[in-house]
Amino acid sequence: MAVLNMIKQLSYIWRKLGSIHLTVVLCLLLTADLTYGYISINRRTNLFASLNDIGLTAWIETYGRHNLLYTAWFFILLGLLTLLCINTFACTTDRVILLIRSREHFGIQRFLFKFSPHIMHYAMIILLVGYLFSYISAQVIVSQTMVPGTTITLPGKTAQITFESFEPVYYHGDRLAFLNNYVISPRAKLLLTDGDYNKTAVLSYNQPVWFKGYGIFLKNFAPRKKDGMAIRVRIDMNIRKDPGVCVYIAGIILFTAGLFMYLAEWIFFKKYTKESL
Amino acid sequence: MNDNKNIRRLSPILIALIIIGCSQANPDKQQSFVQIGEFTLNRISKDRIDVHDGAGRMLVLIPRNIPAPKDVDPVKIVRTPVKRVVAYGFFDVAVLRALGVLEEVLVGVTNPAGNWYIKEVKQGLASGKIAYLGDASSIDYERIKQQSPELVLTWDPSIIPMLDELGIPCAVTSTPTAMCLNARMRFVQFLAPFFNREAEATAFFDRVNNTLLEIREKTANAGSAPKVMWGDIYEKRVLVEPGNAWVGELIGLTQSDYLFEDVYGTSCIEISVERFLYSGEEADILFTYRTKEYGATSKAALARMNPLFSDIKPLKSGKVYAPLPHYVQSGDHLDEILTEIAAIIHPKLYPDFKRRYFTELPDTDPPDIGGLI
Amino acid sequence: MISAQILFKTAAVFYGLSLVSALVFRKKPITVLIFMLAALAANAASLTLRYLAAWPMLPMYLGPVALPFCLGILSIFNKKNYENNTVFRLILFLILFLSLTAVFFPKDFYMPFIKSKTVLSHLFLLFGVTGKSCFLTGSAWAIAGFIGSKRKQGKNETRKSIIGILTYRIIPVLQSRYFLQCSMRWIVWGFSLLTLSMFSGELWSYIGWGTPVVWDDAAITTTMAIWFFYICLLHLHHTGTWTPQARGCYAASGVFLILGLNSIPDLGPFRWPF
Repeated sequence: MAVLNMIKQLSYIWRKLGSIHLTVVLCLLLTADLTYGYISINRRTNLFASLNDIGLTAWIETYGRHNLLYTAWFFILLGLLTLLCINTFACTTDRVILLIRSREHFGIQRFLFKFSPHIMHYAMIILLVGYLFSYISAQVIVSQTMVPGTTITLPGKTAQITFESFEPVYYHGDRLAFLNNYVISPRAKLLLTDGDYNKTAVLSYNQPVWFKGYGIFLKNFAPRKKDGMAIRVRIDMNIRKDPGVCVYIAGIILFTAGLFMYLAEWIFFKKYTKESL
Repeated sequence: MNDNKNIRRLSPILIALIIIGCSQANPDKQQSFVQIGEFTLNRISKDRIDVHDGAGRMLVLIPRNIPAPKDVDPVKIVRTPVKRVVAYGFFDVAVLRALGVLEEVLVGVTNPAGNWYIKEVKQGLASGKIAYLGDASSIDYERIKQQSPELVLTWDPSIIPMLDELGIPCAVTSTPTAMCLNARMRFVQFLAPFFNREAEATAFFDRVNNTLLEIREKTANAGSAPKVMWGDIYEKRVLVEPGNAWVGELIGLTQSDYLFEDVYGTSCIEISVERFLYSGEEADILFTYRTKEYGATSKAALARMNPLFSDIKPLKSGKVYAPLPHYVQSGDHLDEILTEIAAIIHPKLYPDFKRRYFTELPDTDPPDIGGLI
Repeated sequence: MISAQILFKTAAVFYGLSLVSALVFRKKPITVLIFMLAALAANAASLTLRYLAAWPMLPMYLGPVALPFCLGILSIFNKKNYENNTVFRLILFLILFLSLTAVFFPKDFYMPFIKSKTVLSHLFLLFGVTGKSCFLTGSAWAIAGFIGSKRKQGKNETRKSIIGILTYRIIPVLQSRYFLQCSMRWIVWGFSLLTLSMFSGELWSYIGWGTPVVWDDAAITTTMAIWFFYICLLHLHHTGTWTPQARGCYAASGVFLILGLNSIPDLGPFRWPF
């Protein structure tokens, strides 16, 4: 009897967690919370900028807990997103089961397209889990500065990165007068070595280098101007080992696939003409 | 229905748990984290403070008599109180002075004796206690080694790889975003734990804060709000102080209208010429970055250097102020600087005020200077 | 010399003239189209100049100038939008409103930054602006559905819930479900494009900064807020949870969200344009 009761209760909780009403409430709360978040970030940008470097746990322990007036919205956001993931999972799983059960009613093509919203739902969960994983587990070496000729060793590895030379592309011309003789494309030549392995790579803005599980991102560089003030050549890099990246990129790809399937179904099967109104 | 009731009964408990979870902060620990602009101090224990410098790099402050923690790269450990410092920036040196440690700890600078206005530095350079290490772009590492500093304060991170090799910790004191007024006033509190000079830092902050309160009180009913801009044109680039910079915030606090209040970003941020000229049409006062040595001798001289300047109101009918050369080395007199800026903006509220850090530019050059430009 | 600002002001004037022509005459006179085409040409030229002053980087805060252009294109090159007078006028009104806010509150003074020199940043802008234009068009259709009809009296439905009371007693009855259908079409496109914009932004953020979200820019939260708002509407629509009337109200209210959350971060302080 007790077991039956428990099953009943669990089933009730599952139904409530997967309720569309909960989805609506959560989405509206998220909208309101994020709007408040805009005001908070605008007023105290410094509080949030460090989130990318020190990770979520350290951020909560420091910036987060000590500025609750400005960070409370972020904690609420985490809670609401967690609930939304649970809600999405429960709701989608129920519907997928129903869809599979009623597969005889559709042609194979239509049946596959019917999965599009569910693909997006699962993709959103993967995406959010990926973000969380990234913010919790990423190891970041912040602002690693190198000058030509210097070498660093990746933590816990024998792999080394040598900054060989800086070969920037300068902008010359009048169209972008403010940029005349300034660097438009910083290019740092790196030598990546690990034992017998040798490879040269070019690091630039929006052109990271991946090596032995680490992503190397150009953060800053100097000098910026050709024949300008005498400043030593240097690059500042953020070196990140982030296992969450693959997860959230998989989420993005899956969501995009689901989105295109959804649009295709909508365009080709004219879903909106009679249904749902 | 029963299930519903159960859920309802459970919900207050869940909410209470969440609230308790959120408020489980150790009160001591709450006090321990201090954020000063982009700098942070996090007191982990009685004998360890983790700091983040302006570049976001972490350093660990450990008293001299305590064994070094094993989980920290030795070059990131700073032994406190620090006894030998190399400082790149004028502001860093001024802060050491504010902490009362300048004479004691400064052993190297990157400006030659002729560039200094701080008495202690001039004397130190003359006596050889302080070494001129060469220009920031061509530092003499042998000389650094000889001076054996325990800490380098720099705005130029390119020195870090070499210092790492020498085993000398380094803190970057410049930040990607402009320092706000609060950070400018409290930066001294960031450097204080390096030298065990927290009391001096608090005294300095209190002094500046009291001055700020006085300024606010005095200017609260100032009446008309003068329009102020702070920036300059260099060749084809317009650089201004954004609204989030300390000068922008100060001007806003003194019942005046800072015309770049809406601009956000780094100190000396570049904006479009059109935006600068638009504000220039209505500005009453312009603070230029240039000193007399860099051509700011008169309004006419500024206009000659860049004809775009000649269209702005401060040059035509308003006032233009240029910093005096020692201004950048006077960070320890922040209270006086704040008062002087307030006095420039509201001269009627500060009658007979004698300026020490800024000079008002005449319309034209005196004959002997004009010929040189 | 002709500048991007002058061209955009010219576009705003033509948008205004087009709206006036559309409001004065019952049937759309040819002048509406002529003024619109003139406005679009001036707007396009302004966008081109802004782009030329930044390319290959991304011009900063281009949204307020690009959004009226996108909406204008959707209003005259989409047959349904152009033929329905109410919808067309509403879109024109939105275009004029957006143009005037961009003229009086410009934020075009930041210089482009070299980290924006990637195709992803341009896609982020393109998808974002077209997505928001679709949302606004969707809202225009929803609002048009309520214009000219009367409020409902005495139905049971009106007493059942707060949403019922709000959407039936205060707001007139949705004329026809056709308006909601058209509105939802645009909203689906808007959602798809905004999603692609967000993903482009995330990928740019990853290759540029190494993280999926750059928290230095507060606008990330407003984009997410808009996204969740429309996710909610799509769920309501697909599950039929709310009545068409309530959904119509929700879709119509999106206009305030887009204007508020999109415009405010992209606007500077008041600047007298002449």
